[in-house]
Amino acid sequence: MNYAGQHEPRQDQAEPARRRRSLRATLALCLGGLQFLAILSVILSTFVSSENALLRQSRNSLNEVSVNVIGQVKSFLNPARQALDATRRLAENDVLDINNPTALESHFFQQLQVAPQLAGIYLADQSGRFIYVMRAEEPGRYRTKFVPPFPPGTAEHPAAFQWRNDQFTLLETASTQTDTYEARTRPWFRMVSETKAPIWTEPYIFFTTRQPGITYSVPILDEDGAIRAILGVDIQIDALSGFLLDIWSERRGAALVLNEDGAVLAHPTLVLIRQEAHMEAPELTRVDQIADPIAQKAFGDVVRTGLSDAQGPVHTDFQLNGQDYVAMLIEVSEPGLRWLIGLYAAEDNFIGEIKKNRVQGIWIALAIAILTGAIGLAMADRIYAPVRTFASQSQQLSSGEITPEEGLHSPYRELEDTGAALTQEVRQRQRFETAYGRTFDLASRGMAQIAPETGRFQRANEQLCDIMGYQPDELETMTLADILPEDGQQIAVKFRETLLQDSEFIAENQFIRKDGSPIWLRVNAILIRDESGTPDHAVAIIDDVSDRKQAEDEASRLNRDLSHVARVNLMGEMASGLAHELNQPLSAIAYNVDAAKITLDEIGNPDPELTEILSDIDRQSRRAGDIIRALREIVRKDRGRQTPFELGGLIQQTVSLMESEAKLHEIGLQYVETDLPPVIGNRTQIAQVLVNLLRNAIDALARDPVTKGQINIITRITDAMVEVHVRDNGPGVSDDVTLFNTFDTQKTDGMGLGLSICRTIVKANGGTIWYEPTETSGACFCFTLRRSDLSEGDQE
Amino acid sequence: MIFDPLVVYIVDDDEGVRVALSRSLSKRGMQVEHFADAQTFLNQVHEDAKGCLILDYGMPGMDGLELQEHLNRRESTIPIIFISGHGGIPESVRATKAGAIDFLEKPFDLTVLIERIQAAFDLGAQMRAEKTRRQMLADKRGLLTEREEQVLQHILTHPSRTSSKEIATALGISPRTVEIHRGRIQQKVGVKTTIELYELFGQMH
Repeated sequence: MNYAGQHEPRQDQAEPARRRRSLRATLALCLGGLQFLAILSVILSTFVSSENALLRQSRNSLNEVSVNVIGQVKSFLNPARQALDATRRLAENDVLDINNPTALESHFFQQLQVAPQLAGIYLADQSGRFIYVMRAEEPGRYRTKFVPPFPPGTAEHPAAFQWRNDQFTLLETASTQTDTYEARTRPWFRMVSETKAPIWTEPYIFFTTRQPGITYSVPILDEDGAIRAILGVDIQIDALSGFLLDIWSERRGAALVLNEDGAVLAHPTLVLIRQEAHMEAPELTRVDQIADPIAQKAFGDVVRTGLSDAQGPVHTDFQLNGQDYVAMLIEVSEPGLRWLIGLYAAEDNFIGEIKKNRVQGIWIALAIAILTGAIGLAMADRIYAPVRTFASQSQQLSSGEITPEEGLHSPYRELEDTGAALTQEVRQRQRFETAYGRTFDLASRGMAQIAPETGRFQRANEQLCDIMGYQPDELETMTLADILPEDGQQIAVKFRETLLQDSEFIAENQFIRKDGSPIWLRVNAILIRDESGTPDHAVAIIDDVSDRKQAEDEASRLNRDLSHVARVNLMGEMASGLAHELNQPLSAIAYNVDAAKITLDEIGNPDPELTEILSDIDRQSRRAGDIIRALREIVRKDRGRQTPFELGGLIQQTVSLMESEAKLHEIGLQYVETDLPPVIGNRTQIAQVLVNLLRNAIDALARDPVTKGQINIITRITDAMVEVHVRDNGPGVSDDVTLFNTFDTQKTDGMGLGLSICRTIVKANGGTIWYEPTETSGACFCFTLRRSDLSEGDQE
Repeated sequence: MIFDPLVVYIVDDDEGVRVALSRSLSKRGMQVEHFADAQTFLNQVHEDAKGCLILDYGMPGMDGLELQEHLNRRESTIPIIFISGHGGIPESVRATKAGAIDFLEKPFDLTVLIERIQAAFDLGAQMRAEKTRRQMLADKRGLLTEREEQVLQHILTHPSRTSSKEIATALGISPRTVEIHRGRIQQKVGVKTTIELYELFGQMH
């Protein structure tokens, strides 16, 4: 794309492409997701707290009802007790004469009238006497029964009956001789006789009314504490059931009264509590057998496992036929009596409405959550929109659809800043490209940009057009193959392959000019990759080498001749070393000749012979220059033969080659082999350098023998190179000698070519060579070679 | 013969080449100064000296490429023509990339070199003019107050939004104030319209 960008952000693509989140998705997630979460959490907390509130609410409701029921039960039982206790006190204090049946009847009548739940009051004593005032079956009528004393064990005895209305007016009398009721055998009589204390009997079904009831009984004691008589009152408790029905009629629930044994004393459905199996002597139904499945389920277990001693209410929750129920069991404490109030109710009674509201609330909240989520998404999209615009703008900017002058704009300040930086960058890049373009056009040599894959000319400078005879716009529609002769098409293929392997393409070939004439061109090209590393274009420098080709042909002929000689390699190196060294003086000669010619012109009327001589010198120096160029090409071509090789092995082989020569002069030659990375270079040339250095050392030691000559080869690894040191303990190098210069020598029989050739070879192989004075005596020559195990950072 | 006050500077470590070349160029009427090493040249010649530099690529000590880097760092306006005894494409690409106008391999044809020198003189003049112009613009710009600089900055970075109202909104000041600043800027810089202002500073930005 451009030179300036060539080395720039390569690391971007070297780094594995990390997955990056889209800003848009992040925003959507944050805005939409957070709102949704917030609302969901509100719903959940409401749900949980309302759940607790609901449970509390249902328990409170049950507690309220239970208080109500307990009050009712007590108010039911208390009048009976008070009536009897009052009667007892009156009797014990002789205010009421218990031996006066009329007075007793009147007193009992009053009591019955006051308390409607009392079914009857009676008095009995040890003589068998029995006075009983009770409600008659017809409403508003009362019946009194008198049994005079009779000996115990008698089957039948007389009895008198009187019926009165509620004004105590006598309505009817009757009598019988075959009454069978014996008070002294009744349970209440026996229990009170034994304990001499008030008792409550177990609940039972009254024989006469077939309704449930209980009896309260107290003794009347004389001053000595002996029993004079026993009072009893029958309390019909069916009215309790009626009450229970009333308090809860509108709800799906019920209250029960149970005794300790689990017998149901009161139930809203009165008929359920009679055990109809025994029509003769009906019993109270037990709660675990009652035909009320909810009550059975709620309290059956409690009765079976027995009551705990806990005074507090026992709450239970349960399910029956898919319906949730709450239940509660609480004790009613009365002296001598332990009853239980059981309450159950469908949960919906208390919380149905709330539950409904809650479900509705959740739906509303969900709807809001979805709505706000959607709004969040919409907002995210809106916030993101300028970013999207910015991204597409910067795409356009980098592809050139927008010029930097138009700039990148965004409502966001941060993006605006980034845009400004980006614009600046693009402008900079354009400036570089302009500068590069100028170089391109001003160059004295042919230059072209070529697409590496197709070989198409993308751009060609004037010089190239001149060389080829085409107009720039003509050339830019052509490919490399178009200007190659038919038998040279493989060059286009080689061009592509070499460049795509990132090698420098160097070739000299015949090409065809527009007018059809052949021309020899030297093409040097390298590949330029863009920021992402994909091949962008090749830059080629193209020289017309037609003139030189002639000379080079001669050189190659010479080369062929040299190849017949055994030391052709050394000769080649010598030639190229010479070429290099001759280059400078040759240039000087050429310019001096030029100056001389001008000087001659200045004199005026110059000697034609002198002019001719100078022209001849000029021609000959040019010819020498051409030869030098050709020679240099040989060295350059050698670089193509550079391959990785094992340096240790090469040194070892060289040492064994030179060992016999060293031994001849009694010189020790040692190489301590160490682990070396492979190096890159021309193996034979490097061997030549080693041979030269060793021979120099051997010669130096042989010329100036010390007690014991020794040559050591030492290797060292540095960052990108391997260093080879050839060290001897000879006389060293005197200061007045310029090393590595061609034809400078200390030897009597040398030409001074050795080190110079070494330098050329080492340089051509990408290394350096230098001399290091040793601390003691002797010389140390060092050179470096490139490691091939490291990636090549530089083209050189 | 060319009679030009411009100087051809030659830096080459090889005395033969250096002397011969300078002799030859002098004979053609050019003013030539030559140096044996890069450091001496750096010490003695101003980076905006009129003329051009013929620079040897491979030298001991500071080589040609390093000297070129030094000059570039000093924003020199001396065009450079590289000469080399062993030029290859990597070297020439590197040199031209850094702004050299050509890269010639020794021994080169003198007519080519002279052609290049002439081109380099022209380029040098252009570069100096450009540098002077930039300097002048920077000086004029230095006269602006901070607020005026902000307004100018805005005009240059947002060429499509240069109405006083738009600038005022962007800078958070009143359009009237922008008008005054704009007037002062144009007065100080010596132009009459915003378009001229942009033409003057636009490239610089």
